[in-house]
Amino acid sequence: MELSEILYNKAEYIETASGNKVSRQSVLCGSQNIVLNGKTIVMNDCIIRGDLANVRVGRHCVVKSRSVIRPPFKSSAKGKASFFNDHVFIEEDCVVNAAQIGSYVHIGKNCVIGRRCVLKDCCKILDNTVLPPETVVPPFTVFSGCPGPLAPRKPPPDPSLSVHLSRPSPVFVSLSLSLRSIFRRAPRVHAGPHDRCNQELLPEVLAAQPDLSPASKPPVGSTPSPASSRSGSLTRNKDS
Amino acid sequence: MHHYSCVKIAAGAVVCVESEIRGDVTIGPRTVVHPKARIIAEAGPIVIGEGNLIEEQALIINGYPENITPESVVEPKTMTIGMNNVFEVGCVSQALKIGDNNVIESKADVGRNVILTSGCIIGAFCQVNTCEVIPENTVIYGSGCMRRVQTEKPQPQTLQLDFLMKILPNYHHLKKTVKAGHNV
Repeated sequence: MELSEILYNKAEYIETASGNKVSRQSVLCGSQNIVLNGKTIVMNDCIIRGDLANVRVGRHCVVKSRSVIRPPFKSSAKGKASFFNDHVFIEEDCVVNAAQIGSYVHIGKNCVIGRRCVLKDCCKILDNTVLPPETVVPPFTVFSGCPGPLAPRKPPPDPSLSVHLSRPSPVFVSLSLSLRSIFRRAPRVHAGPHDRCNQELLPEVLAAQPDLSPASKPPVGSTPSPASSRSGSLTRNKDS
Repeated sequence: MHHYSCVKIAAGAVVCVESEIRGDVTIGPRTVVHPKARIIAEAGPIVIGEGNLIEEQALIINGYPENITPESVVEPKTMTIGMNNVFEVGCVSQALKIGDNNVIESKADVGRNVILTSGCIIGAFCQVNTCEVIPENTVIYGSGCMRRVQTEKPQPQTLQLDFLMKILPNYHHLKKTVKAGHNV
């Protein structure tokens, strides 16, 4: 899944100090309760309802046009907050009522995520999916269908294939990086010598950073354990 | 054809200013209309009862039926919406008569010739374009629009309505009754 660069009109977007780009045509209700953690992109005609509850969006998230993010309503006195982790990619026309979305999640076009859903890390929701309320989507799964999961497909346990399936995350990291083309800087990639990288990249990475422990967190925001394969493909994307 | 843009909003209703309401619309008390909801009364007035919840990007439209010639006179039909209905995000409703306690879920599409009685749930993404009366307590769901009848109607969202009526005024300006007569 390769994403092309999207050129945008600078005048249409408000850019904050931490690198968030929010379209002027989007509607952010209750903006004092919305926290965008940095380098997040909100495209035009989105609606983020911060007035219902707190919305915390991680870094490098992309919310494409006309999507609606609203925190779910809880029967207790106060509405629950909505937490999105890093690198979440939400495509056009989605309705997201989820309580919690993990890192590196890709939500396709025209989806309806029911209320109080919990999407764990690295899952993928295909286009036109409906997730019923209170669904828990486990990590590394693919959901589709109406009502999903009509065919929840788990990636096979073969590690080379799981590298391929987790590739979308650095691909849309590269999309969000290309949208911020002014700040083009090569991200520093940390990978230990025994992490699962592609073999041809390993000597290059080792030469750059020879003395890093595998537990060091890379600054691009990925977690160490599934990121080992991902950081390898990240450098490949930046080089191409 | 003259339309008098006359939006009558009852005293207890919470209608956000960012919602778009056009035409002759009457909104009952305790109804909550979220921002970016659209209620358009083109071909006749819309009467909305009390206790309804209309979420953002919902579209309630009393529009002209398709396939009419420009010269034909279409008599204005009133669209009636009962009590305690929920119109979730992104739904489209053109049904002329909606009863009580119905739930139209996200991205559902209800056509003009459908009559919803009470207690019906139109599931997400379902398109109901038939010409029929949907019996009580029916649930329409799934990509094939399957149906089943449930034993009880969906609960009225009183807790959510109370919550919204408390916090929405904190973040939004509200619309009050507009009593101007405009020729559109």
